[in-house]
Amino acid sequence: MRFWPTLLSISAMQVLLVEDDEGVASALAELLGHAGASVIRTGRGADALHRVKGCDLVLLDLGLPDMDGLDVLRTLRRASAVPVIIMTARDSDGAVVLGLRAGADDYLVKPVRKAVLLARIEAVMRRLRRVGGDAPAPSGPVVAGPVTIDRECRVVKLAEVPQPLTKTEFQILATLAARQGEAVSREELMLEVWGTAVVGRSRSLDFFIGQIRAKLAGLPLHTVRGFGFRLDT
Amino acid sequence: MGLRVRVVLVVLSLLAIAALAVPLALSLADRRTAALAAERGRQLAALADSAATRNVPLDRLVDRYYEVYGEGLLVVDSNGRTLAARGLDTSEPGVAAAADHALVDAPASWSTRILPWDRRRELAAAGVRRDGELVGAVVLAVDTTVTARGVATGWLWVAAGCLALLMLAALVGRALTRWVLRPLDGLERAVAEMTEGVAGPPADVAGPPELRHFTSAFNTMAQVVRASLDRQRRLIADASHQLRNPLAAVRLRADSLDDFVVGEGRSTYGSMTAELDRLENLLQQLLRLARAEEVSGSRRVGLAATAAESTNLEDVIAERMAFWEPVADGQHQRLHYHSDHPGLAVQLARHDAEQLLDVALDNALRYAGPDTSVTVSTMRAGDAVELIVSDDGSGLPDEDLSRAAARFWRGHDDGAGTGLGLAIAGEIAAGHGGAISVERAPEGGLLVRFRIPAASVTT
Repeated sequence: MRFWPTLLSISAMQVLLVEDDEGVASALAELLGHAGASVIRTGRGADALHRVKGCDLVLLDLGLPDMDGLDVLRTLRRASAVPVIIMTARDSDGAVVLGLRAGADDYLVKPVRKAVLLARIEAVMRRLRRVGGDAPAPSGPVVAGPVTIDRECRVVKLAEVPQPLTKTEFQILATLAARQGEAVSREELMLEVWGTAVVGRSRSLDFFIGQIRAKLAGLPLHTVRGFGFRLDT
Repeated sequence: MGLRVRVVLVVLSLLAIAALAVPLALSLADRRTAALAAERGRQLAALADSAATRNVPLDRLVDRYYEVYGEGLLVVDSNGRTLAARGLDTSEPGVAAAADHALVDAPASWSTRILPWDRRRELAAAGVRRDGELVGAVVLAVDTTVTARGVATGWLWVAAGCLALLMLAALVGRALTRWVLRPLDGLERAVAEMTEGVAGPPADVAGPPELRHFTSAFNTMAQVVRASLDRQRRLIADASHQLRNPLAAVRLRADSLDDFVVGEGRSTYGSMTAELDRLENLLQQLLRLARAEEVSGSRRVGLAATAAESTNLEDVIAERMAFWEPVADGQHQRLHYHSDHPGLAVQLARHDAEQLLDVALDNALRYAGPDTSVTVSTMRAGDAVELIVSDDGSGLPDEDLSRAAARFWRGHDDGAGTGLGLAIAGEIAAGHGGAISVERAPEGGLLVRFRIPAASVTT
């Protein structure tokens, strides 16, 4: 059995493997490593949310020691559209429905054959590519009210006057500007700027938003209650 | 036991009451008799005194007495000649004798007690003395009717009292036996429920202290047994669940190994993966069994509401037979379907009905042997539907028929099966109020019969 097309598409992928069972995790890591993917392993749901940034695929077990896999998935979905394949021992129809509804792209019941696993991964990735993956961020400066944000040059101008912004402030603004007119969740901003999808009780995001509003008077930056923020034109 | 205790209690109290009531009734009669005797004795003495006085108009005295009391009276002289009489005659039997007795100063003692049914006439006599000399006798015919009636009334009261006491005893006996026996009824129910595997409420702790102790001991035991049964039931589910992770790891590693196995290692690797397949299959079947058991268990407790489900059996059979057709063709087997009642529906979810049919068909096709026919038929049996899968293969010996639906039972020549298929089907059927039975088919092979409650609405 040879799956060259699969191997080709999986190679160079970065896979986050969330699995608390050491045996399964190491077997999976080895298998995916053979296929050419680089694997980040974690056994805890909270760690998964911290390390998901930059991953192309998440393989998620539902029975985790610190939190339920479905909760991990729900939190993750607010922050990122990264493809998630659930791989678990729960095999009732209800569990499959719950998993897919929570935002999983596929659901596999252990034990899984290697061929099946790789084919599923490939199918998920193919689907993602067909949809177009992440829409390419519009290049060129973004105009929001009196403010112009030029991400390439890392320059923000208020009424044609460049404004000094810190690195974090600029990153937040750039993330919002990349999806101008859309509401961006707190989780997504946290993931983009701090690399973790866990919002927790941290108010640092609110602090930086406040700073941005103070520096750029008239910026149409709105708070979307209970969700995140939106930058209008 | 309750009836026996009550009978004994009533008989005993009956004896006790009789022992009291009979002497009471007799003494009542005695007292009445004595009172009558004393009263008439006084009358007699007064009459004798009057007769002793000279120049008394005896006839008037006698007439007056007769008119007042209505009792016959006779006065004789010392020679036995009648001086005066009214309503009584010396020719009547006993009268002369009584007069004679009185004349020799031996008045007839009247000792027989008067009973309610006595309607006789008692003779009382007394001598007439004048100056200490017997000069005659007075004989009185005492009418006992009134006294007898009085005795009867008294006896009726006694009888009424006895009856009341008896009823009281019966009531007390009843209450007592119920108090003792009611906890036993509760225990009986609890034991029956335990036998059927139903988790009912614990038996009521009531009744006498000994029974209370026993009942609470039983309740504790039932709880322990039930808990251990639960644990045992869950153990299957938990164990097979826990086995999934290591099995998944082994499976992945074995698959990874595939690329590196060469030459003579190949056949060993092949049998290893085949065994892995078997293990996976077994594990999956075990989980299915545990799940079906959970459903049937909750049905026993009365939690499941399955009546809402309805599946058209004909649809399912057509679909599953189409699915199994290629398998049958590959083994030169034929599949038939026949039903005398089209459009039968059962109270089962569709996937459960499919699973029942799959288990039976898989079984039949696997074990009937090549060049056989497998027949699926449905039948209406009262308010149930029978789904029957039979074949004309070699079948099973009689002693195996009863064990075929038991867990982990496999035929002697069966190397691939898990021995759980029919057990799972049985649990699924039981979970929906049905049953499974394995019999000898009329055409010679094996027959699997599912009896499932019919759904009222055919969809």
